Amino acid sequence: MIIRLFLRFIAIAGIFLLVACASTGKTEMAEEVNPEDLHEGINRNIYGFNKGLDTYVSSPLVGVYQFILPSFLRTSVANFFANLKEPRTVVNDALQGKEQPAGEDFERFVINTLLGFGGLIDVASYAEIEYHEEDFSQTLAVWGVPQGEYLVVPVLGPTTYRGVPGLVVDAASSPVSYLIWPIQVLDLLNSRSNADQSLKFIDEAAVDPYVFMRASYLQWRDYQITEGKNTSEIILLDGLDDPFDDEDDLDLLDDLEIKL
Amino acid sequence: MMPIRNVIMMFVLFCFTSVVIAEVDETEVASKVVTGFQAALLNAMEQGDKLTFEQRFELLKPAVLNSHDLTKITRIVVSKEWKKLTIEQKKELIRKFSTLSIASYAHYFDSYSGQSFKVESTKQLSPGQIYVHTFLVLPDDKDVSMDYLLKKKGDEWRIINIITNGVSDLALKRSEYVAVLKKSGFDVLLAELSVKIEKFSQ
Repeated sequence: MIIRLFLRFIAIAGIFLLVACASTGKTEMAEEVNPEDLHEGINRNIYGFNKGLDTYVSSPLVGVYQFILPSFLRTSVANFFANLKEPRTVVNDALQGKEQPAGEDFERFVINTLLGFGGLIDVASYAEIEYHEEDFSQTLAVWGVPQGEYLVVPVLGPTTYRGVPGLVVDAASSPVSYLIWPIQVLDLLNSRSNADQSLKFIDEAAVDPYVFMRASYLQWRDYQITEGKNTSEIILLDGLDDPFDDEDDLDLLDDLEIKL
Repeated sequence: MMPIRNVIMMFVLFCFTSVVIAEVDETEVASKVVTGFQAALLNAMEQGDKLTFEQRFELLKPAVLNSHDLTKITRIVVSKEWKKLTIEQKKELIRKFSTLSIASYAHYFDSYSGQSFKVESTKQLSPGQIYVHTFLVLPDDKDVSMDYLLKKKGDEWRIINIITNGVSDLALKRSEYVAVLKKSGFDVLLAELSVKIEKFSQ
């Protein structure tokens, strides 16, 4: 079963990276520990490993996938796997006490499965039934489980202490885990293909891609968990009223020429 | 003759309505800064095919400079490291950061396929700080939430933070820039910004 092989690969990769980090332990100890990211040393190593894996394995495979499948078929594949996630969403809606979203998501699943040829066509979106994204990690957050430290998992990418059991429960409750391996491979290709734009954006915009990934991931998850209610709080950044008021009258930009 | 009690009540009422009207006016002015900037973005997108990157950059430059407080944003994104910089380094950083900000808008807002913006609400968070909640409406996808924080600069309202789907641009940049400054220093940060500008222009 491909999931079993995949998990074994992750375990081996994890051990390999732990050994690699242990061998550079003295250097890590000498460096200042970042209170926002206690495992930054090992996280950065795993991030580098994942980046290499993506560059040399996932990205070329996704290139072939995108070349072979025309855009409308890729959309159908994405719709199919999104529809398979709907039962998980309904269960997590219910566990979080979200009655209306649970009803909408159940409705989406039934409509797309029956009228959308097993989920290949997203009929529910045409009917303007809202799509929600819920997983077990969000449920744990709603139940009051603290986030814990930031982690980067081999192959799977960013998460937190709270996200690890979430990943396990989500994988175990996903119907894809119990399907034949070619469908599981297709799911992996579809997931990576969907992330293409975001990964390209990080490559283009980030000055430090590791920090960019960490900061954006933690904020985005918080946004999902609070249903966007965190926005009016995080917009007020610590230090917004910066201690540089002595220079407020000195607008340094005034005499600067901005050109390419 | 009007009783003194009525005069006092009228005066209190006048003061109260003046405060409310002033607050409404302030949020309207701030909201107009955002809608004006978004109109400039849409204009650049609509002309996407006809313009080169350099032309889009020049088109968006006044819109970004007149709506954002780039000096303050630059100071915030480097946090306490700002005080360690010389005046020349500060000027160079502001110039480079401003160029990068305009270049990123010119790079990403380069084509039009029916997108629009809508203002959902505005709120005065505290004196001198206004929050404008907007959506980027995509024709075939879920709306993207875009929230703006504006602070007063003299008599004008200027954007200093944008939150897209819950991700604060200012917080993101501050995490990155402070990390690079601490680890590699000012020259490396400046070089990285130049590389990004170069990438956006290709």
